[in-house]
Amino acid sequence: MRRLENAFWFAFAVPTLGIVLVLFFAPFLYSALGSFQSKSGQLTLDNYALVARLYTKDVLYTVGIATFSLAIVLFIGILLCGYLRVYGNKLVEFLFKIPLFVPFVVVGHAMRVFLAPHGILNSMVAQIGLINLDNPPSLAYSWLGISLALAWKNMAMAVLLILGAFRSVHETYLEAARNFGAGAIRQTLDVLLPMSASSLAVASVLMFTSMLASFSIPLMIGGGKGAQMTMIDVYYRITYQGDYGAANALGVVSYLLASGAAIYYLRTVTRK
Amino acid sequence: MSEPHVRLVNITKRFGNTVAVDNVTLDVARGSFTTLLGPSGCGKTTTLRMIAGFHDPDAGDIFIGERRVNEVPSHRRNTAMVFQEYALFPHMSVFENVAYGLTIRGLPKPQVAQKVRATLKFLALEGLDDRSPHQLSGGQQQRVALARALVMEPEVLLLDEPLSNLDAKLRVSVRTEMTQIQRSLKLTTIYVTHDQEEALAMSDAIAVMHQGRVVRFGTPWEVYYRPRDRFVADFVGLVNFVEGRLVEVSPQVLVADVAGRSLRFAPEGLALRPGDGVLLSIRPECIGISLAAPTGAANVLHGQVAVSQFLGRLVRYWVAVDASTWVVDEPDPSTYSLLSGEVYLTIEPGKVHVIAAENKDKDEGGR
Repeated sequence: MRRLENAFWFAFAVPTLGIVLVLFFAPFLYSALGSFQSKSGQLTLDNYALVARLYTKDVLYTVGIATFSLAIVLFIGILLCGYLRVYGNKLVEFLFKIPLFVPFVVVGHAMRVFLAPHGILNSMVAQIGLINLDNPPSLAYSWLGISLALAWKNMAMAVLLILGAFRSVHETYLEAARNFGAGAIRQTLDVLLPMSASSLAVASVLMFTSMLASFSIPLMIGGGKGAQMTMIDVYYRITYQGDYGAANALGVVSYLLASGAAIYYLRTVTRK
Repeated sequence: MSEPHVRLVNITKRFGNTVAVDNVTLDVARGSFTTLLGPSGCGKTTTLRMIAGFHDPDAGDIFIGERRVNEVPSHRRNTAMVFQEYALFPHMSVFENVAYGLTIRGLPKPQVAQKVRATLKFLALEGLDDRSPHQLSGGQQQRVALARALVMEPEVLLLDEPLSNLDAKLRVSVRTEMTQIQRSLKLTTIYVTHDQEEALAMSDAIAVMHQGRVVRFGTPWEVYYRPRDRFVADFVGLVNFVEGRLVEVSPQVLVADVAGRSLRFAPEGLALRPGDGVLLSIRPECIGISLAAPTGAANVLHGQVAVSQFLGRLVRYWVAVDASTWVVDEPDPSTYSLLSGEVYLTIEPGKVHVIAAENKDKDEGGR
């Protein structure tokens, strides 16, 4: 009976497993193998040598932007979710979830309009005389613009995940802290944050890997000069140079960057 | 009663259309152990949480000492609460948990350490400083929660069913410990429970709550033996209810006709007249039971044992007398075997309590 039950559940899982194997593992293995092949099919490490020579700066740039964006998201997200958990505010919660329903391309365009040299932000700041629009600074087309746009886009996901974790902390813990005089910030930092640490780590991993793989926002907000995020490098390598070997090597490097975080995520999830 | 320390004056709390606490007025004596007792949903925890400052009353006033505290935030009321689930912070050690409130108060570290160690010692928790809450037994967790509250040297200690997560045996020992601690500190304590035995064992005063109201407030003895309505008599322990009509009234004794039988009982200072209807309560342990017909007893009933239960320290009998069933507790069953068949019940007049009386002319309410 037990074996029959196991067989049933295995059969139930086969389609899902099949899709993962066909659409994820097979292309991944194919790409990983391709990264060790020259155009003529010979086994080689040339693609990695090329990546190391041309793209080390881009890899560091990508990790730096993803880390900085994540720091912004976590800083704002934790304080905001602490406020929402302690006091509750449906309107603010709704407003912060709006980016969840805005596509990446739209975010990229909106942020370009907002952060451009003659964009909305500079126009507003110029109104109070802080900058001169004849020679305006620009957040767009810079690493900071990409970071801010990624942070804005990921904020909704952060609110969803962090608030969910904070809400799973029982009210009596907050009441106990409040009874001793802890305000909203101390309740957040002393109680909510440590008690949601593993959920927060998982949320951070998901957002970090998503940021590493971001493409449309860096493409639209990035300056097109200097360091680029790795997904743009992959795009150019394939589209303009037809160099799948180097593109695959860049993909494997990105995967390795994300896999450290992913391993932590999987371990946390399976432990739960 | 000594001077009131916590005073609730006509407090009401509503959640939507539900009235959780309905016009409650209560004086809690300084240094006393007062229990809010009642079934789930009676408003006892809501009342406690209003005193703690977690809920604002919709109407009425709360005083701690001379100070009206309605708008005072929780941590400025000088109360400390022990929660039902203890709410010990799982990421902090025992020491850190107990020190948390003092740290927030901004006390210097040496002073915090000294106070925490003294409190841990007082509650026999020495040596557990570095342990996490999950490494402690239920009883130890309960004491750490108490330590975390006591270290703040509160004016009033609030306890929300803190024993409900302990097993029956541990609960008895912890409640004894808790009572001793409270007595030694002479700390005004308000305790919430639905467990009537716990309330009777621990309290100086009990407020029985029902449907958001305090329906009886008194010492454990008064609440148990002198309930003023059917709910209190029934909720606090087992009871036999008897309805009858007075046939004889004198300063020394009242006689009621109960289903064709005469039942004699003490007047308790009540102004009753022949013909008045009465609702009487008699506790099971106030009824004697024997196989032989007793002589000289004021009230004797003859019946048949329907069910008996051996409960160790007593035997509980359900005795059928005519159409009614009487519950009788016989203490110390160690010297005889269980009774069965025909038995005699004896009831002393002084152990019958009048819960409600109805005037035959309908011009008076119950007492």
